[in-house]
Parts: sequence; C-alpha cells; structure tokens
Amino acid sequence: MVSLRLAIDEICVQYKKTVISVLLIFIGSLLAVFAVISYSGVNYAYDSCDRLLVRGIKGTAFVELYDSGYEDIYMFFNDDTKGFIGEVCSLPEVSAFGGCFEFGYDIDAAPELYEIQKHDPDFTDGGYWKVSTMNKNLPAAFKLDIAEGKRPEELDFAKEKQEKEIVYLYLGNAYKDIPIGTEFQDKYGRFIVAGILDGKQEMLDYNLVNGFYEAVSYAKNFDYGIIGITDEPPNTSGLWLSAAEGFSIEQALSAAEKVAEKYGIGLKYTTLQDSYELNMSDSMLLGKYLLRLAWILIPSIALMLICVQATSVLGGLRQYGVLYSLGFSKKNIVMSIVIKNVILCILSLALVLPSALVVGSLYFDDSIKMVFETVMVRNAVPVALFMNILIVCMISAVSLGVLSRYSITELISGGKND
Amino acid sequence: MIKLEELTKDYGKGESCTHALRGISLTIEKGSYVSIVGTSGSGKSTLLHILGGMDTATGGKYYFDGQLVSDYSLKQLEDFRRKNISFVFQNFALMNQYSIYENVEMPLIARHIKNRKKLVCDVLERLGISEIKDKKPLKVSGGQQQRCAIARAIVSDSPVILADEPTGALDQKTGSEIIDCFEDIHKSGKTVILITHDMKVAERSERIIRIEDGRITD
Repeated sequence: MVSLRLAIDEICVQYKKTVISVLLIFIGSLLAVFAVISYSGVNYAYDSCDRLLVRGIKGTAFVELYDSGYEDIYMFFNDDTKGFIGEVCSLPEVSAFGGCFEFGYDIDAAPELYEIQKHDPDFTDGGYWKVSTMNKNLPAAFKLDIAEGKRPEELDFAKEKQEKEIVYLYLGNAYKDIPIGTEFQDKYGRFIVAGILDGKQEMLDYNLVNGFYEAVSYAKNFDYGIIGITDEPPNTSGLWLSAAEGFSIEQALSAAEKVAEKYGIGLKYTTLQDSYELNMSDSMLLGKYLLRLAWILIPSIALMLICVQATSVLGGLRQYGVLYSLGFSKKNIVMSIVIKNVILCILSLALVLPSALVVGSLYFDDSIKMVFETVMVRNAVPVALFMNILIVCMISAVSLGVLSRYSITELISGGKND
Repeated sequence: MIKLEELTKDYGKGESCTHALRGISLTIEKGSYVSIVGTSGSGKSTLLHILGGMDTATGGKYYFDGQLVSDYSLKQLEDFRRKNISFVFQNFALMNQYSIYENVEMPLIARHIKNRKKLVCDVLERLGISEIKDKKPLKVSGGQQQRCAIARAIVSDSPVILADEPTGALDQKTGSEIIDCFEDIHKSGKTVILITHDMKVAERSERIIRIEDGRITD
C-alpha cells in the first residue's frame, strides 16, 4: 500500500512525463497490435482452410470451365463437360473435383429444418432454408466429421434415383434430434438425412463456397449448417479441385488441363492461396509495411521511454533520498517505481484495446470482423500484454539502474557528493 | 548511548582517495544535546550521515545502545534508521507536492503507524504550525518550513534527532526560534545532535564537538 501510494503520488506529480510515457506506450502497443493482427490474419485464413480442406489451401484449386477460344463464355453442362468431369475425377493426381454452391429450398419442403436453422446467429431470413450443395465427387476435398450416419462415399445415388432429384443431407449438430433416414420432399426433389455432423465441424462461409474470387472468408462453426450431396451436374463456373495425396496441385491441374484439351474445354484456375493473396494484396502490403514500421518504431519508442524514465528518476533523486531518510525502505521505493510503470502500462493498454477495436470496426467489414476479433483476442492481446510486461521490466530496470548509482547521501543532495 | 571508536571514512581509492574521517572516537550519552562544528569539508556531514545510518564507515566501530551498527547490513541499517533516527536538513527537504500535514505524516506511513491524524495534529500544534497544515511548503515562510521539517522529525518519536545546519537557510531571529524548538525536543528526553557553522547556535547546546580535517580537535 505504501509503495502504491508513492507510485500514484509520483504519477500525479510528474503528470507531463506520465502523459508522454502513456502516449509512447500507447503508440507502440497500437502499432504492435495491428502488425500482429495483419500478420496473424493471413495465417488465420490459411489455418482456417487447412483445418477444413483435406489438402489444405495449397493443395486445393478453384476452377472455371469456358468454351475454348471464348474466355468470357462459361461452358454449359453438356456431354463434353460430363465426360471431362468424369475423366478428371478418375485421374490419379486428383482426389476430388466438383461444384459447391449455396442453395435455398422452399420452407414447405422441410419446415422442421427451417425452424432450427432460424436460430443460426448469422441467419438471414429469405423465406427458405439454405444448403451448401456439393456434387457427389467433391466431399472428399473436405474433412467432414460425421457423428452418425453413412459417409458420403457410401451413398448410393443409382439405387435411390427416381424421377426427382435426390439430395442427401448432412445436418449440423443443432439438428441432432432428427433421425437418420428422415425424408423430406417437395415437387422437385427428395431430401434424405444421411448423417449428422459432429459439433466441431466447420465449413467455409458461403461467400467462399460461391467463389474465391469474390470474397475471402474463413471456416466457421457449422452447427446450423446443412451439406447437401447430389448427383446433379455441377455449376461449371465454380468447381473445386483437390490434389490427390502425393501429388501437388500443379500436377493435378496440369493433368486436368490435358484432359480439357482433349474435350476442347478451356480452364481457368487458381490455387486458394494464390487467390487469397490476390484478393488481399492491399491488406497484405499494408501488413508488411506495418510490420516493418513496428520493427523500426517500437525500438525507437523503447529508447524514448528509457530516456523519459531516466530523466524522471534523475529529476527525483532528492525526493528518493528524502524518502530513505524518512524511514522508507529500499523495497518500498523499488516497488513504487515498478508499480508506477505497471500503472503506466495498464493505462496504455486500457487505451489501446478499445482503440484497436474501434479502428478495426471502422476498417474491417462485417465478413472480416469476426476474424479481426478472434485474431485480436488470440494473438494481438497476448502480444500487447507481453510487450507491456517487457516495457515494465525494461523501464523499471533502467530506473533502478540509475537509482542504484547513488548512495543515500548523494540522493539527498540531488545526486551531488558533498 | 552512541560510541565511536577510531571511525574512518574514505572516498575513492589510491591517489584520488579522500580521507573524510581519520579515526573519530567519541561517546554521546542518551538524552544529550550536542553540536558538531567545523569548517566546510571538515567531515562533519559525513559523521552525521554515518551516525544516522545513511552511510557506512570505512573502518572503526560504531556502537548504538551497545549494538555494533558498523557491522550492519543495508537491510539492518534501514531498520536501525526507522527505529532510532530522524533527520532535519538545512534546506528543509520537504516534498513540495505534499501539504505540510502530508509531509509530517510521511514518516508514520513509512513505519506503518495507524491513527496518524492525532499524532500529526498534536505535533503540528506543538510547533505552532497547525494553521498552515493544508498549505504546500512553497506557500509558507522558511521558518515555518523548518518547523514542518522538525515536526516531521519528531512525529515518529525516534530517540535521536540529527540536524544538518538547521538554521543555515534562516535569518537570525527565525534561526533562534528553531533552536528553541530543538531545546524543547531535548527537554522531552531526546538525543539531539546538530551540525552548525554558527557558534551562537552551538553554544546553546550542552556540548560542542569541534572537527577539523576529519579529526576531533576539541
């Protein structure tokens, strides 16, 4: 308590130096926070895809088919594309190839599913229940954690297929009370519950599912999501290709290109990593410069802080001497210096964290906000805390180093030996 | 009782070594009132600092109530100072950011003493400065500042008061009033040791110790 009182008194007395120190720590911490967010945000995107995709962000590509010679005209599904897709699926270099798109079905078809899906925090009511629909060849690209039911490769479309489209449903964990085998239908199709996904299952946001070119998103909880698997033709403007184990994505794409040539089909493709880096080039550049700036500025700020603290201690030598003469122990005085520095850092952190959140909420749009907040909590806050602990240790060591150079009698005479 | 045996204090080493004290031996009885006089650089302040446990001797022995203080560790010296010694400095050494009351309260805080308000008010009353207790030191006269410094020294009830040129920064009349205060303190049973240049001040004490070039001359 004695040291705390001395520390608070000193902060109040030297309020100008306090403000300068808090501002310096604030600037350094804010810079560190955004450099870390920027750096960790990229890794978060990669990790997010790697968690969900069997071959990860480097082993998966997004492919468009177009009419050979007309790059802006997408290839419609026909016998050629059917043959092409079938042949690519059987290539040893390819483990999965197919389309994935968000599809909304009428509420009347399965009101029970709609009622549950409504509770999804991200649900936007468009008068339908939505399904991330995949072609039957694609699930092998995703790590699907099925708690109960059949695995996708065990589904038998030939046996079930009648006059209506068959969609096998894998329901998120929020639907776990719906029995396997439950069947819903409308006039266009039959929806058969084939499995329930584990509570840990994640899925990529629909923006990413619909096209990596348009938006970048991240794997997130899929409790209220539904995966539908069909035998219908894929959307040729958005196909996913996953390289087989032991093959690189370049090898898989090269093999697919050869097959495309045979069918007179043009291919446009990008690996997910290239696509991410292309889409996020501005942010990545900003992150790169922030990181460089942090490396230059943070040590400079540390030096400035050392100077401010050293002058603060040198200016208060006589006061420390008087405190010793009044009966305060060395421990009291050392602790008061450390506590003062801790308070400075706490004040700075109390400014940095809300400021970072405000700046983040202005800078990042809603789709990225969740990532920003996650990265902020997981990476930036610990780094800011660590940095502040380091600052406390550093400036306390400097202060105590300066103080220890003087005897009590020198302190009383303001640093002079009379 | 304070007893010094062949106490020496050197600053520096080799050719640049300065001998501040060259074998001081003396005894100061409990409850006595002693002045130490000497020219500038004679070693009197060094002696006072060693007596107060703020500095350590290079050689010799320092006994306080039979305890060998010269063998104390820094931690023991801290405890020794806290229990036995209070200081009054020439330039008052008040902390200008605190009020007179807070300055006087400081030694009690350092000693973790509770019910501080009564103790502080009593001592401020005794020294006639209770009316200015809420003022900052820079807003009061030099005499009042020194009274505040004396109040701060006696509030913790230390048995020994060490004063380094307590009237040095004051005019003659105010200085005389301050010496009256020391006499009162002495009458209350405390040991008072003060350093002064002023023989008029020294002559009011029970005993005068003259020190020159680090040695006691009289």
